Amino acid sequence: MRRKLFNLLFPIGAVAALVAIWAIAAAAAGDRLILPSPAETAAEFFRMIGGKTCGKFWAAFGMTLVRSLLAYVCAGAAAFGFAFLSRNEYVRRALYPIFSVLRAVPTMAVIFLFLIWVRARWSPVWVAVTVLLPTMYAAFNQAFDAFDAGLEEMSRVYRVPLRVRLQKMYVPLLLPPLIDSLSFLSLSIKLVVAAEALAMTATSLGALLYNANITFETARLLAVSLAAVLAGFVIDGLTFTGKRLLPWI
Amino acid sequence: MKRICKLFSLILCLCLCLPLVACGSKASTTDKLKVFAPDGAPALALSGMLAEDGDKYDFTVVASSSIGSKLVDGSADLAIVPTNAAVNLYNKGKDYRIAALATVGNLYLIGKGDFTLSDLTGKTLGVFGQNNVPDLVLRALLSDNDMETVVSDEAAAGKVALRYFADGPAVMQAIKKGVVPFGLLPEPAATAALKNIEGATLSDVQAERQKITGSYGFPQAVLVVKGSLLEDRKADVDAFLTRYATLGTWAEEHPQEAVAAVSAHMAEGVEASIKALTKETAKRCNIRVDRIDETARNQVKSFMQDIIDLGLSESIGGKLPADTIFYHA
Amino acid sequence: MDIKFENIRKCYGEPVVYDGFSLIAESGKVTALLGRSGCGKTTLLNLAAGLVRPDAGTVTAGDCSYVFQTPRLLPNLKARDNLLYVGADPTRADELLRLVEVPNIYPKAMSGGMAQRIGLARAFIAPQPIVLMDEPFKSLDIGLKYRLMDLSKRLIEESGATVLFVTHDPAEAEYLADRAVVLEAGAIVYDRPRENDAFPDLTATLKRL
Repeated sequence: MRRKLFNLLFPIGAVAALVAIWAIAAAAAGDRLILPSPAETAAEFFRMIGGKTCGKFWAAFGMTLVRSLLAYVCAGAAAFGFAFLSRNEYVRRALYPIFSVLRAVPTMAVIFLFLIWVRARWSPVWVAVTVLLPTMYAAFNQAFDAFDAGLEEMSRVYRVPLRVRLQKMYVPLLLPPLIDSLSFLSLSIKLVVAAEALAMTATSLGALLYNANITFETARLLAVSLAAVLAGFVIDGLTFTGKRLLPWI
Repeated sequence: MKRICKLFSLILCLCLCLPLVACGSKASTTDKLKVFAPDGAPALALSGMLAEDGDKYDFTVVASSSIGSKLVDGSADLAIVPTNAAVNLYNKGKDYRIAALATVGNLYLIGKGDFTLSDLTGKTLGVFGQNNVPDLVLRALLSDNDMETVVSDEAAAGKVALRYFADGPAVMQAIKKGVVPFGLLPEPAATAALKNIEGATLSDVQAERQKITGSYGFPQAVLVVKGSLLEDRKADVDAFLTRYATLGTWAEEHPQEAVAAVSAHMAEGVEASIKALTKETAKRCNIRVDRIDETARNQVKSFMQDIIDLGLSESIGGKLPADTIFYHA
Repeated sequence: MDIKFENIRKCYGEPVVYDGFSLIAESGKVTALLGRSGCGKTTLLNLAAGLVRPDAGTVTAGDCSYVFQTPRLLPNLKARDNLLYVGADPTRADELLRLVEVPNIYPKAMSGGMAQRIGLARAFIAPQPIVLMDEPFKSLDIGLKYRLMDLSKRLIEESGATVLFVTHDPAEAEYLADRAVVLEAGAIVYDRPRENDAFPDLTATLKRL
């Protein structure tokens, strides 16, 4: 019990230290337009999520999450499919140059291009998918590569039917890397918000950031960022507990 | 050992905070006054002084998105800024006072063929600068003409659909490609559109506004001066302002030299957006360098009130500014 | 059914493991394969199982059960479910669990020996005409080893399968096998049937390798 408390103290201590440094820096800067203090940011944050106009925030937060989730699911499904097909060496070699290009294109270029090609409401989704796809593909490739060939051999020798193999072997054993890939949802949020800010997508966290910037509401800028960071923490927590739920890990 | 490490890391962190302290600029009584202007039509208001007094003052023309930061970090002694930004920052505690006007509006509506304002109903209008002055003025104008607006990419019956783009050139592209039938453009982009788009005509937003308010245009950009200088260097500031107020028509009389003067004072790595200028275009930029007097003050205040009435008080900091924001002639 | 290797050639890149190798393991009998580590005994089992193809020659075999060198249990299934992964009889599964003396737990909670025993049990949940065993008693202590060898003997006799059984230990061969074959450099250097519960000169041959 004492050990658990002690372990909890470390992350809390680290966060407290960060906040302390922030407070010192804000006091040193002395200008809440340049760096608001943690207190000011917290006040703005709570006003934003619970104050009179909080509906605007929650609508934007919801839409940004929807866009991020959509991009994540599409990229994930496509990446999984491609990785499964890439177990074949020829497919893998054919796909290699395509994914290399996708991986290397600068993110800003992708944002600007989709701004031209697609409506502001959806361009952030396209941007996120384009950036996520090669990264998730690489991760799923790794998961497939690491899949125990010995288990597959055993299944083959004992002539286990495909349905049973999928149900009892492939899906359960690929679940942990799939859960790990949840961390890409945080990345999706980051990409979507950046694209939203440039496209000025209506009802989005990105637009809130953009507006906070041009009206010099620095505290609000930090508050919106804080919301995105907290969303990321929640996802990390889900990943952690998700894996713990699997009894055989 | 552990304690020394902890102390060392604490000192290191504090040192990392120091650069933020050094951000504020230090005033001196003999340095040249630092003057900033945003790229585009507002910079033309300074063109006379850029050309003839370039050695007396430290002029820099920056990208229009970063003019605000020059007030935030205090590096500007004088600056031309959008009026709403000036009021917003004053309301947020930045002591910069409005000393003179700079432009009273360079906004024009573009459409193919002759059109009037009422033709916009049921159609889409391409707009730039969301929540900035162009956007606010347009919405105030439409509202005053009892025209309903809606933010949408598609036309809506009975309303004017506002579709936002990143900047003026994007709006022009949209009109050219037929994505939107009408667009709001700033001069000198408006003149460029007339040349690039077949059958395009202009409608003067400033004139439309005059039909409602009785005065032509609106205080779009103003010249502000750092409050502390009004005590420390009043004589220098007044000298600047007096000179400024005499050169209002310089850009119109010397269009090519004006462009050259602005280009010569661009900030590092920033390209001037105005490459060429004619007399007519300069005139349409509506430069007015009047010092703040009763009339000008009321113009600014009523424009700010219009913005508040539109429900967009956030862009000016939530309320009308105290009268102390004005530095009278 | 017989397991037949006829004129087998198998290379792994440069090294040629077998060239013109032939062997027939008689139906219903237990044939022990012995020899130095790495001389290709597992390869013969894999050829019989159909996991690898010979470069030349033919392999004749049928459906097999295979007890691998490593247990190869599905980590997400408990012991009983691992048995049911390859066979359908739950009563038989329970019985086998009891016989190999392993509780119904997850592989991660098993010792190496326990996992190995489940691998052994798995081979007998759904009787096949051929049983392949790759050093199945390796990591067991003596008492457990003999108990399991007794069990294996019984299960093999019950099923009447043809057994190919790789081991290092001549004692295991003497306990379980009807015939002992010693391999060296892809060739058979010893091939004798059982005589009076032993294989004459087996230990001596192995020592000489």
